[in-house]
Amino acid sequence: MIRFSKIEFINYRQYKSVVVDFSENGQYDLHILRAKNGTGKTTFLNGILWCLYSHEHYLNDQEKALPIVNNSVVQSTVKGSPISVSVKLTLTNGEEVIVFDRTQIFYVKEVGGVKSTYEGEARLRVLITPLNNAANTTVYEDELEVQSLVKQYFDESIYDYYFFDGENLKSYFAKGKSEKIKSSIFNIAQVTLLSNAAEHTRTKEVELSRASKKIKGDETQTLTEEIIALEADIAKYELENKSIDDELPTLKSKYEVADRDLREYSPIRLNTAKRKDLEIEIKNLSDDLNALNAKKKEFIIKYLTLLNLYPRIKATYDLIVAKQTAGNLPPSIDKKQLQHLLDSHSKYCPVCNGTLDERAISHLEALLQSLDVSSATSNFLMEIKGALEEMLVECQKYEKLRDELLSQEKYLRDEIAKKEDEAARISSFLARYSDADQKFDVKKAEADRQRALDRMNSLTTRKTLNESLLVQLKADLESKKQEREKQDGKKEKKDLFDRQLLVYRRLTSRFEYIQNLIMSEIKKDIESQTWNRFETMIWKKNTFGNVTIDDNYEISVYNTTHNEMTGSLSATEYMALAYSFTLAIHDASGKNCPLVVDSPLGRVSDDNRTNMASELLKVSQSKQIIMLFTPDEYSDEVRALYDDNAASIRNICLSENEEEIASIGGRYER
Amino acid sequence: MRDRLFINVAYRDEIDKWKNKKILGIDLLDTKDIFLLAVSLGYNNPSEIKGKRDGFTRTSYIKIRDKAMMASIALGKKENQSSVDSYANDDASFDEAERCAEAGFAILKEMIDSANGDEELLEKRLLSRMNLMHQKNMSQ
Repeated sequence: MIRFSKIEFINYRQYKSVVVDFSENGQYDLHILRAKNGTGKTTFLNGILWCLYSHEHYLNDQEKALPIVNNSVVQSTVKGSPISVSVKLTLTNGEEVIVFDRTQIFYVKEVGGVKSTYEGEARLRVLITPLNNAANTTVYEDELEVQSLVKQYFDESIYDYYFFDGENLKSYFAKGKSEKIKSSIFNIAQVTLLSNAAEHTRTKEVELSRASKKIKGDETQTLTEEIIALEADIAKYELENKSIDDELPTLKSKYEVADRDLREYSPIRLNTAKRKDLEIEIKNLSDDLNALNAKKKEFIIKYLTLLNLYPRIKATYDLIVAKQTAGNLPPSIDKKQLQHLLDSHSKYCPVCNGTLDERAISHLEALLQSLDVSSATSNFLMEIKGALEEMLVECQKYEKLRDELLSQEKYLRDEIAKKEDEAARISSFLARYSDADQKFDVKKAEADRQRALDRMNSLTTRKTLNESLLVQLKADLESKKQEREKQDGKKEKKDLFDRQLLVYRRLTSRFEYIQNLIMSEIKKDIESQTWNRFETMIWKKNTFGNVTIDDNYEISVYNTTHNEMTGSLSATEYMALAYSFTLAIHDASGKNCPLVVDSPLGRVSDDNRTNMASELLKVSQSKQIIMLFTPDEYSDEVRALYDDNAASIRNICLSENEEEIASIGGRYER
Repeated sequence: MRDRLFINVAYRDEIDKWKNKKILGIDLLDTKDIFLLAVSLGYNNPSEIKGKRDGFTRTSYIKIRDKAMMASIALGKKENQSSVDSYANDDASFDEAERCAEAGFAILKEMIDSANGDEELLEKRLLSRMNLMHQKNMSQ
């Protein structure tokens, strides 16, 4: 059970120097403070709120209210001097002493003879001391830590469920309130932890889903199909080349047999021998042409580069020559060293050790100005000059070399054509050859030879083409395979993301399920406790059927015929409902916090007053209740119940000048 | 000094294709010569390498003649001739050469692609271009 053991005020409004002790006394932890209207009952409540939240929630008009510093203290304090205002709440929870200590400094100012104050520094600190080790106090001053401790004990969003104002019941079930209750119960029941965890897993779900969508998964399939097609093409061309390789020796043999037979047949021997010579010459010329073509390609690359760059090569060369002519290459003194000498502000010349006076420095500066390039630049330029010159000379040779190449190419092509024509004429002659003897069928042998030769040429061309295609296809295949490997990696990643996504979805769903389960249990608990207490407090026993709390923590009261009657409740019934609900929320929180009530029975009359007072007395057996009564409100029925049972009963009395509380105590204190 | 010269990785794939098809005998060339050809084609419109960079040729293979070609790009430019110290060094030359090659490879690709595999046509076009440049530059 958490309870106030002491509340101390210093210079807080009329509570100039007040200590109220709430010692346990008997079986009821009920404490009564009685005061006339205007004495300081609500101020007492506001003092607690100010200490915890730095707001006085029960102040009618914050802007037009007096400053919280006690007026008599202000009047007796010298202008410019500080006044410290503080409220200190000392609580115990059975294991620790927890002190919430707020202090605010005010400075006195005086305008036109009227003294007032302005705010200075403020702080709230929390001191926690274990009951079994009084010397080990932990002091919390960090704002976030302090706020967290306040929220843990008296969450500000539901402050009026701890510090209850019986005269201000309308706000209890006001719109928007239920949302605060829900969120506070979330917090109290640690459901926030689950809610945060669900939020985290939901965020991860979104991240993973996005990451997974970014990876396109269908490219692997396309690539695999392309690879299969390429492999099929490669196999096809390789097979074709193999069959060409198989066929070529046979063709060659056929060709050689026919060719030999033709050459050995004496009537045509001269023709066949000539054709053989021509074929050898054509082959040699073709080889020369191929070599020339390779040379031509080399020439194109070399001169394409040189001629493109010619203007810059020439300009650079001219620049170097000009600098040389001007005597700037190499420089007489190193430019960098000279610059270093001037920058280092040396007093003496490193060469002659003479004094570097202003005149010498001016001379050096002029020398530096006159120097064109540094030694490093000079070396660089001299190093490339020869190569530039060589390139320029090569450019001059372009036309000559080009013409030589082209004319050589033309000559070779013409020669080949001429020889091919001559060989073709012989072949044509042999193809039509016939003699009277008919000892040897020249026509047939020539046809066989030509057929074999044509086929060999056709197959060789085909094979060369295939080989070139195979190089390209194999390169494409390699590149596609590499691409697929990359895609496989991506697919693995995508699968991993999808699996993780599934796990996070399950987690979110479980978190939400457990969260709903806990909230539903708590809601049911609050509902049943509210109804039980409400039923006890109200004298009407045959009117009310039940109390329900919906998922948004909106409370409704139904009659015995199940019709809602929340809007028809009397002020007394409304107060009973507020008490019942408040105490149920306290129970649900699991932290048995104290309840401080201003005007606890102000709106309650008749039999209900006794019922309610009696019920609250019972509650005070297990919960500290501090009640602030007006003398009228502390009626005979109440007195009969509380006088002998309350742990303390005190009167709050104002001083004669009405500026401070003169005493809290009197004959009712037990 | 840097140990290698970089090109756009996209052009590495193109060069491999040209080598496979033996276009212009590129398969027989040193990488530095391919690089210099691109430099010479693109030196009028240098641009930063777009995308991933790929180490293409080692600077240890660069000879004085190649160095002279690359240095001439910046040194031969009229507006740079008053600040020779800034451009007459390897690092400045290599930086500028890489930018020129980036533009040059695009031009070379366009030339090769437009010939559509007809090597003779490509050679003819290049010879015409060379004749034109010779006429334009050498007659000055």
